[in-house]
Amino acid sequence: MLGGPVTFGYCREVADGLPCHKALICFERQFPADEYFRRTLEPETFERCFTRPTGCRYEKILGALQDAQNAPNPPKQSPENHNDPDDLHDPDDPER
Amino acid sequence: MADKKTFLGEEFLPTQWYNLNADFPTPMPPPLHPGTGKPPGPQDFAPIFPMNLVEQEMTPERWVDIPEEVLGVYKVWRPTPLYRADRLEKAINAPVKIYFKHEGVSPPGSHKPNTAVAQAYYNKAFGVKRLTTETGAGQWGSALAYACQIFDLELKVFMVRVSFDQKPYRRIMMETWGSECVASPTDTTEAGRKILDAHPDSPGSLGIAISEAMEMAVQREDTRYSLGSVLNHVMLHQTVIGLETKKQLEAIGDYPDVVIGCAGGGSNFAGLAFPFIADKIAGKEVQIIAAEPTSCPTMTRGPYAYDFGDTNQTTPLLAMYTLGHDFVPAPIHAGGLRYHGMAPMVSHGVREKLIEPRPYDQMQTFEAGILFSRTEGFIPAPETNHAIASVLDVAKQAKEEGKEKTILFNWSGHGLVDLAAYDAYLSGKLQPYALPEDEIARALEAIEGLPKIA
Repeated sequence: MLGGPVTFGYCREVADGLPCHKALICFERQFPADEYFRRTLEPETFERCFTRPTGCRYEKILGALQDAQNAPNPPKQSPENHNDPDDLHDPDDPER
Repeated sequence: MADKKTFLGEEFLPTQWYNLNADFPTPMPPPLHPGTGKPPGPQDFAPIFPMNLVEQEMTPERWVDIPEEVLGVYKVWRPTPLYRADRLEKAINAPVKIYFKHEGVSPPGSHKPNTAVAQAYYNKAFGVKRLTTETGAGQWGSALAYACQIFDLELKVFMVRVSFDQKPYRRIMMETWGSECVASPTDTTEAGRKILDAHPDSPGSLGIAISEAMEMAVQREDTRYSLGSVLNHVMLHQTVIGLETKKQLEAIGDYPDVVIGCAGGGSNFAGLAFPFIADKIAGKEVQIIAAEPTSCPTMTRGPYAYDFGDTNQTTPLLAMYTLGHDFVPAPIHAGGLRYHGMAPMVSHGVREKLIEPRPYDQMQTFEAGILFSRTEGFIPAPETNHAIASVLDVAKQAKEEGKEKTILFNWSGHGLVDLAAYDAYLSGKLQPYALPEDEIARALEAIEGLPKIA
């Protein structure tokens, strides 16, 4: 939820220059969004943006996680100090 | 005269959360990991969630103990009061009793800290030092900021730039509670830099903000990611709402015919409704309604699974639209529930016909919110107005049928940081209807002859 005013232009290009896949449904009560996008997008692009299955949000989270793990970043760094006295765990706890 | 509010003593605070997954008539189909095509296992979540939360995410247990440390924080504002909306009832003159569970009394002003506090606790217990998250409007970010300062966790919130610029008060709340809130895309992550290289003026999106938050979480052993909706453990934590409500209703000898919540990502709806859905599954007659906006009908439009995605996870709240480059019509507002990803547990409840989704137009929702404000006094968050619109809808039906009904709804949060939305409504800037034909024609003409995007 973005919580503030955004232009249709935002929704039109938010997916790396392509529209949000919900733009048709979100705007259809205001103007013929379907006609607009069919005029501005190649047919294959229109199909890709609006009709192909996108998966659920849960799966998207896992996808974003996979992308983050595959990003050209340093591997997970250990903190400098594992034995922080503020840590709630007992450092001698074998269950930790 | 009946009491206006039903309180519950702290000694009656629920000591366990309820997991509806244990009682669904058919098992919820698991989401599939996009990389493997198989259901995710605990290790798939390990880079971003502590194992104690991963266990909750996957547990089949019906009841999960609420840790004492979490209960101790819950007591700052819980149990929340159950109100009888007698002034609203009088105004609408229908044969109904209306109760609302007031979740706006928490420090951040909504139901969100019910899970934020739990998640902060579990992360701290696991040894995590810092959390990352994304936020659009700032409700989730501010709730998590509140929770992190209690458990002495650092928090970095990636707030979508367009919202960061437009909604400073939520950001200030986060900073007041000691968190860092930055406008996404940032140059502090690979995901952000990639976007800024291509689009230096990018207004951002929830998808980008999520990518940034995740990237930071996977880079450091002492950092994890947190999410305020969609996930099973979030639904679990929120059930404290419905569990308390059942005790309060029992104390006054009442039970609802209809339970209503607004549904964006599903967490406040699930929180109130799931304990009542358990009763429904056990044979009790109770109608469960999830109210969503017509402008972003996640549950009432489209097939299950396919339409519940958000490719870019972007959800405009207020939508001014330009069709052509020179075209700026009057703004249109949608009341806060533009969220394209419904929680799987809620989706499954709809599929099982345990939950009835109903869409409401933005004008309807604001009319409902204004009526509520002028009768009961509290100003609801714009998203909460969807639940109120549904309450009025059910009350109208009861009047037409001549049937008495007891309605319960979740008052999920106050609207005191979202008054710009009410300003837009009260100053006549909201329009429910289509653009005039000549304006549409002019806008479409403006794009004639332009090359199509491949």
